[in-house]
Amino acid sequence: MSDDVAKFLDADIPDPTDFPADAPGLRQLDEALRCTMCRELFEAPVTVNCPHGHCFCSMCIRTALATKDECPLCRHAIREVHLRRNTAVEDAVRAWGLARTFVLQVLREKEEAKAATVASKYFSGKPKSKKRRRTPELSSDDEVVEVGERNVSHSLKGHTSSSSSGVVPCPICNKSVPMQNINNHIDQGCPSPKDADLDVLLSPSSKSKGKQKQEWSKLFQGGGAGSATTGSKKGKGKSRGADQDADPLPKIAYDTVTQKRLREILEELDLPTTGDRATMSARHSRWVNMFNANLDASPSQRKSVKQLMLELRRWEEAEEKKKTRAKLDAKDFDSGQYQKDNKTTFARLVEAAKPKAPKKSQSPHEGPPASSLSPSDGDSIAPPRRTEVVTIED
Amino acid sequence: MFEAGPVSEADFFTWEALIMGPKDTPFEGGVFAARLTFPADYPLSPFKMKFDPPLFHPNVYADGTVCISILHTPGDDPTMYEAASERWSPVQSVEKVLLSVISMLAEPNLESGANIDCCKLYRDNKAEYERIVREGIKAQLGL
Repeated sequence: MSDDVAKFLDADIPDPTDFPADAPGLRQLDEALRCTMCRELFEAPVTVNCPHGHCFCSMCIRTALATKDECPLCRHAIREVHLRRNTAVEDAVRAWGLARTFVLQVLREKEEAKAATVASKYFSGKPKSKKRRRTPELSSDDEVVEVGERNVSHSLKGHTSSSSSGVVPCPICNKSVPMQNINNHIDQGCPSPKDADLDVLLSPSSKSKGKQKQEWSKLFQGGGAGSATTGSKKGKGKSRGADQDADPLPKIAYDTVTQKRLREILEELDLPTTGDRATMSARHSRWVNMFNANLDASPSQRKSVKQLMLELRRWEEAEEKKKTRAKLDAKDFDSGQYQKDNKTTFARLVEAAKPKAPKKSQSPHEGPPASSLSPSDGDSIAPPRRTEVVTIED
Repeated sequence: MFEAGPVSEADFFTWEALIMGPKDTPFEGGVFAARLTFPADYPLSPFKMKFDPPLFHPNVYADGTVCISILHTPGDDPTMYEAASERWSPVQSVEKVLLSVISMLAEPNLESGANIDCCKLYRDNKAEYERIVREGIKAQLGL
């Protein structure tokens, strides 16, 4: 867990504030191409049928509509069947994903060049000391622009040639791709990593504990065997080719379905059938949302069924962890039992504390310590995003 | 005006917020700490906000919990005092909620009071209410 936290803290999380506030329009552009719910760049953007035509990630709005049938932004009544793919936004996001890294790089180089000029001017004192310092701000500004531009074009050339041999993360799918293949990779719609890579993640050898995990790994491991046994069934989207024109999955009113039937439905979808009724319902509805949201992406951007299953499993593991955490926090937490279990520890602590009992209780000094009282205008940090949460809990 | 962030790196579901009392209100000069607790299904459900130590305010319960419409899911208001448009929505952010709380400090909402004694005092004897608030801030700052 702590490893994951450290990794998470080290990770560079893209955010509109990566761009300087004075760069015209860049922050706004980055903001505009983000979903207002998850604050990530749109993934399979859809337009809802509110009068404003608000736009969200397909998965985000589908999850939100399960809670309430209204547009989260303007609260007009909307319906899931009226979601429409927004291909223009999707294309824009895709292009921006590519341009973003590049633009940031250019900005950084410009900034560095500026700093270097200023430094050389004031500290080396070699060439420019001859000039009169009449209007230092003005003259330095002029030169900065000039030098900055020259440097940028310079280093851009260097940039492409130097990193052409290296491996870069794909701006769209975040997979590591050799620089020279990046264009092909994106043109082909971010082909999923070779199944061998996924199999490593899904293999049973990775500390499979509990029936559920084994069930999952069985599914992924025996891809061939699984499809052989379920070959006669519909088996939606077995391969990438098949889910190109796949129909969206229907929703189920879970209250009207028997547990047996629910298990059958999951089996037909090649999903695990472990857990109680609530777990199975949650798994099914999550899968339906993921599957249907995936169909809202343009065919080249869609994930393979295997990838979706991996995501479903990660989600379920994260849910499991959240549940255990909630149990500890819950009000009906059996404090009596807890006290009984830790009686000896408590007794020891009480003993240890006794000799030091204070003569007089000091006046309670409430409130935060003085150091934290320094009034400072600060920005709030963005709220935790669900995607982040999954990373942490993983 | 405010600052907020996770309390520890190990738990991103518990945040602490520090809010400065808005100017030209009895709360001016005070700094108020609050704990934000995020549910597992955030942002579908709102987080909870609790002033610690509790705050003397018509819309803050005795235990410090903040009662504000933006933190209520549509449907948990039996008295129907709050318009659905003011309730929680998954596009709200910590920033927006804290701004609402700051404006709530400046202008209490007596229609849906949480601290009834405080509500009465505010309505009947505002000077005394302001005095108590100021005393609280002084005590908190150790003056």
